[in-house]
Amino acid sequence: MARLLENKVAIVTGAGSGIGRATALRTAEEGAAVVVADLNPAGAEETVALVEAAGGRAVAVRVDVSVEADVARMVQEAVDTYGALHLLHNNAANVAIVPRDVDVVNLDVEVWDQSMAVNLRGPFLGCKHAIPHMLAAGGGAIVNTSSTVGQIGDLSRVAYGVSKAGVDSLTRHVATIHGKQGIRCNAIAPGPIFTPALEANIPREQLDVFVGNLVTPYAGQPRDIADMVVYLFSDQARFITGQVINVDGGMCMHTPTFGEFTKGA
Amino acid sequence: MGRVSGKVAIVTGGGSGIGRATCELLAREGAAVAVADINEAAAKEVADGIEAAGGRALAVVTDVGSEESVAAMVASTVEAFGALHILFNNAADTSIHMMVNDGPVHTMDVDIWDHAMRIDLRGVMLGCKHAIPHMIAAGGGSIVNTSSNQALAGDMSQTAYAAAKAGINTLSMSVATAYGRDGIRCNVVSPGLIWTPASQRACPQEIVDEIVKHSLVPRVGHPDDLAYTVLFLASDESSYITGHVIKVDGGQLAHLPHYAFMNESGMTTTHQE
Repeated sequence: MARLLENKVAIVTGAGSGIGRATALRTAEEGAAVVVADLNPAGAEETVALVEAAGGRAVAVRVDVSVEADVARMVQEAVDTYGALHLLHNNAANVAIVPRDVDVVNLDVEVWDQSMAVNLRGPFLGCKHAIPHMLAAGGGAIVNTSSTVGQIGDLSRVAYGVSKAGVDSLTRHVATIHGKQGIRCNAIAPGPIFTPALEANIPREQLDVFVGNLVTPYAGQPRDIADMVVYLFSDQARFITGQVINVDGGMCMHTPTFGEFTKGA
Repeated sequence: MGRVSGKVAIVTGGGSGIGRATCELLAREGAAVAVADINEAAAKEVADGIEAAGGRALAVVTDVGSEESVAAMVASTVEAFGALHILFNNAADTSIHMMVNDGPVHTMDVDIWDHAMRIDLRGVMLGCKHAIPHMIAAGGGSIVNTSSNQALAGDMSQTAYAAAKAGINTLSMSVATAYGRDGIRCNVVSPGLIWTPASQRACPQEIVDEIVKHSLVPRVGHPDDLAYTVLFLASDESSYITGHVIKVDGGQLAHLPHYAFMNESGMTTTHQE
């Protein structure tokens, strides 16, 4: 069977671990050459080694997505190395700051600013610098990692949630403006995905409550998001654009009492 | 007895347009109103008008881009009127400069993006951050934030503005969730095209005509349309409503996009006998 992303060039930010790493692996598996971009060069190198071990093509790039020059260089490196750019997964987010991301009154303004700089400004910069190359290639697909926290209220993580809502709106605008030029842009809103970052930054008891509110009998894994990214990247999704797709085990579609009523069931 | 008698309100961007209409209405309905605006003359004019009509008002020069300025706005309101119950975070940079330069991402100056985030979104966060402790002290309060339909649907320009406004919608749900048990409600008004001085500067007649074709209420919106919605959300009449985004848009986003064409051409999607 033909692979889904044959002859395509992709950039995945935050690809040194978690969802980004899984996406880099799946994207390469489907035939794309992948730029593995991450703030952590060791993580990125590790992902590249995993891609190569599986027979794929990848190159590591160190990037701070909040720095325009870094993002511009990342895009240039993709084009210099592989000759074009068709696919971009804006996935990097500052998750290390999440434990300090509380409610507005107690929030350090610096935590707000840093969350916006990485989680929202980063995808903006990615789109800004990638789109001209996608236009030159005759089209492309952008997938942004959003979050279910961007759609509904929570007791903490206010800056994270707000930045992700911005990502959803950015997604619709990019899709609207560049749709006729052959660029699609979608967002994925993951529910709790069991990545190293999630397990490091959210207490165990809270994770149990998250899982209790999923309607699936299992929690999410990075691969669940990666498969959706590959689908949205591929021509199979050619009529899907401007959408925010929840990949959340049904967490945000049921009545809020669901978790209590099914506890122990 | 007014609908918000005995309450103290702050309205940012209170010097013109939606903010001005809301200041005047809240004051008419009995609230003491801090008219906060970056434009001192405009804030004074609105406050003077309210006082001349027998209401209570205070002009406060405020740059919502600065935390110090927002903190001072809240402090001087509480100092003047003794408490704080209502906050209408309405200020945004709708200058021609922003309207014209906030376009597609690949041609946008990053400075435009940063400025829109700082004023339109961060300003709202700062308003909440500094007002909420006083509302808690007063036993509760109501926050209303001005968003935009741009946050709910894609458009060919206004990319940064829209992303900032989408952030406001989620911020409002977070605030409603985090402080609901403290008696604080937080809601959003999402305007369509409202005929304010800012939109009159930015919107040529052809665009107005197109938007009206897509409105189910066939006219542009008036600042009072927003002011009445804000008054309701600020008052105790809406005490069971929180975390909502309410469109005040003449139905602009309630229909499929072929509505205007079908309506004008007299065509129909159902087969006629």
